[in-house]
Amino acid sequence: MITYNEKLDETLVSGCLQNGLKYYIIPKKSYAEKRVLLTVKYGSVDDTFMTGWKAYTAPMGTAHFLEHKLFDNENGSAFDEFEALGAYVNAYTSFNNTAYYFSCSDKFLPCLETLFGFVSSPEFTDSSVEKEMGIISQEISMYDDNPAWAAYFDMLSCLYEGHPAKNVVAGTRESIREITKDTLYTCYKSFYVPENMYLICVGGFGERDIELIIEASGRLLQGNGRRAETLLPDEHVNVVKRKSVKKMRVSRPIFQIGFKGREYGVTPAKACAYKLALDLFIGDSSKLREELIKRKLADDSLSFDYVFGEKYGYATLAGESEKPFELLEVCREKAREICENGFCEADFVRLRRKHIGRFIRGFNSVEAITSASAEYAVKDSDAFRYFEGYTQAGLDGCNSLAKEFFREEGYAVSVIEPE
Amino acid sequence: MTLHLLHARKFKTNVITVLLRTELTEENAVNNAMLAGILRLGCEKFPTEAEISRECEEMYGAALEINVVKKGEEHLIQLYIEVIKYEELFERAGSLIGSLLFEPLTDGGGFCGEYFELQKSRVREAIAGRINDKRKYALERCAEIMCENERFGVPAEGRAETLDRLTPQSVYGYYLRMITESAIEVCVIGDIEEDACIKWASRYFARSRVEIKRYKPAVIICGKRALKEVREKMNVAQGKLVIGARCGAASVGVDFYRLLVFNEILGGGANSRFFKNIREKHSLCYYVHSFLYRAKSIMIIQAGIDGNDYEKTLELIAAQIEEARDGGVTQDELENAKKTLITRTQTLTDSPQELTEFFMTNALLGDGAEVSDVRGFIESVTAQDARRSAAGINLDTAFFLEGI
Repeated sequence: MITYNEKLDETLVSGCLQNGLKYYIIPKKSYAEKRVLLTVKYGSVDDTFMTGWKAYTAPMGTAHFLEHKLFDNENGSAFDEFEALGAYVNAYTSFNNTAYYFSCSDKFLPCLETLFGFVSSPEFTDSSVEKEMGIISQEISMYDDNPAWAAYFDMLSCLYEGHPAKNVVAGTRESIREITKDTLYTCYKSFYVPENMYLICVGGFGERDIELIIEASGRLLQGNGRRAETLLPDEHVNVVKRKSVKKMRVSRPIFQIGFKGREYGVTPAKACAYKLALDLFIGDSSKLREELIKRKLADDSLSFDYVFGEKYGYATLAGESEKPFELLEVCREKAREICENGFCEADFVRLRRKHIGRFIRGFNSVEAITSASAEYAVKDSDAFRYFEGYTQAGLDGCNSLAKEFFREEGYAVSVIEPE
Repeated sequence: MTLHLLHARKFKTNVITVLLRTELTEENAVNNAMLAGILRLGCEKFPTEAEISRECEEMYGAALEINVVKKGEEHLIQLYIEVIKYEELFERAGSLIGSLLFEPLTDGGGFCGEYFELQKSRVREAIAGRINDKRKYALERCAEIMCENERFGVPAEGRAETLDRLTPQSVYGYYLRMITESAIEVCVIGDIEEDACIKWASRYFARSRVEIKRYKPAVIICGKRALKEVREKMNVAQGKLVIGARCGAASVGVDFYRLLVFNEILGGGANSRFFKNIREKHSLCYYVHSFLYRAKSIMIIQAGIDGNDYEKTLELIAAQIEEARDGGVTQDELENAKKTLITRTQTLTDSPQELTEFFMTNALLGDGAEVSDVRGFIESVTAQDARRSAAGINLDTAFFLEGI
């Protein structure tokens, strides 16, 4: 299917192949770069799933470990193969998915074959698993030293009791010690099936290139079977703990406030409305931000986001502040005001314009389009539908979402204080 | 003032970047840090931070940044604005940049007192906050120790003691001198008519300026000294090792590209000698790589390792350089490194930010090379050249941020 969006002035070629793979191709005329990303809907939230009739729980950090190990094969590593083709290759694991991608300016077809090749041929041995322990332990230590990261995951532990949304993606040094080659094979067989994969291609692809991609993807990606069913616990709508405080070597307190969402199955329009509502509430031009700065409670380190997936969704507010709990009180007070009066229409119109402009700007970057598309794809959506989400989002939607901010028992704050 | 204009139809946006150049000194660094923030806090047309933000939001989410950056032995204030290509947005964005830079808010012969105090606390926070990003902190400490007797050793945000001496009047005086004497580089990339661009530039930048400063190129130190090792303790889970090495290559011309190719082989990415040996073979780290401070001909090697692996890692790093010096590099390594770097020169034309960076670096270094010349330089590098680059590398300083 070929869709053209006039406002973006972009074309999307999308479809589903016989083998189950879904593809999203966005050609960028006159661009030298060609980027291809293959994503699997298997991330850190998928640790517990059905194998046959039984429930299986992999150790925390397995999806990420598997991502590392897929690069190795008996001949060496996929890095070597891409190097010989003059391409850059990398991968990442997040809450909802794992992604493998390469970037090149020519020879994209041999690169595509290599990508399908290594993702389709798992070779896990005891010694290679053991070797990776050291590397991933260092990766975990690197994150451990990041205070913003610590604040984030402490906040998630306050929000969620059993839901794996709170799990650290790379796991812990102790949890990865439990991973064996059998663990990896089990998880691989359960999730790395074509019907659970999505191909994103962005860059200087011509019409003929697109035909070749579609043909090669149908031919090279074999396999059948359904994706295993992820088992997720039911979560209470309220938070587990209201606050968490920890000490680390930082110059001033770092905080993360989380608002636990009560609904699931968020549509593009709803996700856009969430982002608009947060921007209206505490964005750069908001009265709340002005007041926080005036009272020396916040500065330009303040940021916000909305994150969601299967059976979870939360908004975050983060930054640095000398008095994070006082900041929290000022925000709560403002939230009460917004609940009563709603947001101002002129502000809404201006901010929607800002978000639309920023979305268009994002289309300059092959990398940005690719990683955003991967996130949308595993939610069975695409960039064009998200763009429409902004035009569909209304003031009423933002007002009702704002009522969710700071609902009693629905938010938590984690603070990292100076030692 | 030099205006670089590049016509590019393929982007969704038009970008304006303005660089004000100063020598890297403690005084200038802290004054620039103050100035960059004060300019963003308000101007005559939009007197508050929130009003400036609203203006940007009205312009379909124009992205505005005013910050300071250290490049070679210069310290720069950078103003940047990016707008989508809707009608009249370029003019409106250009006008905002002009207002922010040339019509700041003043109060009795100095900057507005409230904004001065606010920015002073922000700069103080930025200086104290260096320890928050442990990896970046280790990087800065290595450069400061290695170059403690050179201009390059001055930290990008300046020092707190120098900050204390400033007043709203002194920073305003600094600002007036700066807009009169600093060399200014302006880069515009997008779908803009040359006339429209020159009209905007003339309106704001065509002012009488005398004695525009000239800047000395960064001092490149060659020669060997015994490795200086400095360890600092902090409550960290992972030790951050940063090694600075002197390379003795010129910053402009083919010599630099010979070093660049060798750097790619040694520590550029997942196919480099560092990655293959120190990470994959010995499992000592998750990240290990090297990059160049071009103007100073300094190579920085970074690795995140366990506290107990300092000596072993240092030995392995030195061994990789010695092996390249004694045994050279393979033809495969050479070709792959060149391919990677050439691909980068091709894809840099896909990004207005990377294009801006390319032109600005040229301006600062006095380099007239086009992108196609750079490709030619890279292609010309031989295995002998890479070996000679290896021979020119002297490990100078090792800084290790270790756990308690």
